[in-house]
Amino acid sequence: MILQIDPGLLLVLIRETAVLFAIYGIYVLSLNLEVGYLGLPQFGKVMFLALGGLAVGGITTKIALMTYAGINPLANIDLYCSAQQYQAIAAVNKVFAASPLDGLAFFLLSIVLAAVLAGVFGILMSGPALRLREDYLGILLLVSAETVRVVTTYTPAVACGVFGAVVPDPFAWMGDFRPWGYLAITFLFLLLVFVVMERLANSPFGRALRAIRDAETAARVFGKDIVKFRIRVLATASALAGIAGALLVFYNNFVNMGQFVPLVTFVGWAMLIIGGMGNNVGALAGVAIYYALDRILSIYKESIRQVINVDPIFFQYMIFGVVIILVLMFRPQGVFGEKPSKTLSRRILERLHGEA
Amino acid sequence: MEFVIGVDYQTLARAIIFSNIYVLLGLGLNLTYITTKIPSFAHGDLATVGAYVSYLTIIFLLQPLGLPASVYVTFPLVALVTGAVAVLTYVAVFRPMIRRGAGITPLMIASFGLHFVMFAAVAIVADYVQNTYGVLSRNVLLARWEYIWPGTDPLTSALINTSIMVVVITALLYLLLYKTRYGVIMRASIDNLYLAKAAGINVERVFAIAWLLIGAVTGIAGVYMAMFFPMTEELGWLRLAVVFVVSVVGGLSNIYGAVLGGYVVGLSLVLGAAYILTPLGVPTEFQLVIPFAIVIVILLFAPQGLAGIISSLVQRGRR
Repeated sequence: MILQIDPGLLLVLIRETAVLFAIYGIYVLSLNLEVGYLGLPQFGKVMFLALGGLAVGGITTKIALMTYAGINPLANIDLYCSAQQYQAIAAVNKVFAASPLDGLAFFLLSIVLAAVLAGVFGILMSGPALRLREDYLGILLLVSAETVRVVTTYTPAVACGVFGAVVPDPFAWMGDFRPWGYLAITFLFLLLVFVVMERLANSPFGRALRAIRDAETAARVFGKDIVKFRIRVLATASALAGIAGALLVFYNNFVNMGQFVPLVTFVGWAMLIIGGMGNNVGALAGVAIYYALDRILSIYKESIRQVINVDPIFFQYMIFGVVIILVLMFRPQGVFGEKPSKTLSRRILERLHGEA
Repeated sequence: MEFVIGVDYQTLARAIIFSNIYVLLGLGLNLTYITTKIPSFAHGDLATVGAYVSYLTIIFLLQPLGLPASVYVTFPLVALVTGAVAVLTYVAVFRPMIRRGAGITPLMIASFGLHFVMFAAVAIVADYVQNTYGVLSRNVLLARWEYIWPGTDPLTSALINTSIMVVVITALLYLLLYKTRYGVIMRASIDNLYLAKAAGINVERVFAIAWLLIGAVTGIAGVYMAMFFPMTEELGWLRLAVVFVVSVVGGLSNIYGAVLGGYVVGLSLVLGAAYILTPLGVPTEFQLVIPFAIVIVILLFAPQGLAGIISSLVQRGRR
């Protein structure tokens, strides 16, 4: 059953999948920092993705509209959302197409704002994270994420509510190369986040996190300030998820706050569980496995439909469910298990001691 | 005082009906929590399964045979099938994982995997039935087959029926847990797992039977859900967050906390939307924020839930 696929189409499919891989890679790496290294039951992860989307669709888009097109969408939000959005954004895009500098400024402002907004929320969430038990904390985070979704979806002033907000394209100046350019940008971000995460995980900071996860009392005895560690981790991981959210919105050039349902949290978890918790390579492998499976199934969609007349997407859900359960039962460490953290080699350590 | 007087019958009836449904769903979730130590993400899907079993029984069994098509005729089958599904999830997934010493978070994620499987299974059945037999299998309301008491309108009948159901099920659970030998065994296993094991109780079998109860109660709750919410494969999943809130508000480790939590959440949800949000000009979609706000406050200041607060107050009063 090998399907004949147009090579050009296949290239596009691979490119689009790679962009999503990079964006979700950042998302799952940040989840891994919280879940794999700190053992936090982060069931509200989608909240930070949503906040990143909100920063772009709700805040910087309005700033761009006011600066470049002279339109104030808040003056008549209903009219703007239902009728004027596309023309207004097209006017902004024309500016960005002519001036890459303006586009990049808008992009960077959006990313920074997304990181700050999500990071601040992460710090807010660290309050309950310090006092509640695992199961209650999981529920609290889940419910908080739902609250954020409901409030932002049904407040039109945020990001046009149920209509969804169109977002200007900061890379309009790339013209036909925009998809490839955006692929490069997302991979740049992924690489950056991956390097930072690897360094973090193998640093004394990362080892302290594992110590807190595995033996909180012992870590406290050794003088580790657990409160400070948790706040830092939540702030960092949330800010990164916010960046992922902003990148996702720029990929679609559109955001509907209603898209940030709890399912997105759990898809991230599924990727992490399959790949392996506490291992950054494993986290990325999980994302890759997820998308590989997803795309293969989508290619064979029609053939499945001929065998049994059911929407094949549900078989995909079922396979993922079964895989998650089987991995948890028979290989809880995932495809790539957690590795001992890398420390400096003995020779370097001795030399350092000699110098000291 | 305008609040109390201004409540009209329609809104109040709906508030109580939703509360009753949430009580039934919460009862099942609390039993899940007691037996596996986790709030299961697959709980809503048990309700979905119950609703579909009822609907398909009516369409494929009762109507062709010319039997009276009422949801109540399907209840035994609903309880049995959903109960069997629940037991299967416990025996096939939760029990082996607990035996291997899995922690709370892996168990919760496994329950999420179960949600995927059950959700997809229901969707596949719904698709298959629709495509093969041409039977409408989505966005149906089961209210058509609800029993209508003579001389009342459908809303009043639903109010009466759901209230009776809550009373009957809580009474049966009470009788089972407090008046039978088996209930003693079950409470012993719940209270002190290791002591019960040491006393020779087969705790796992006791919990398997508890899961039968979970499935049966939740399946029946699902049938009532499908009378007010359009029946799709997401019927239970979409309202799961609210059921979690019900259980946490009441107190997860107390079975009857769900009764308290169900009424607090159901009443605040419907009445809050009608009498606080609408006059303020806030869209009704915001109603979900009310229980969410309640649970966030409760978790931050009294994580043991309302039932825990009340019982500790009672104890303090006794002293």
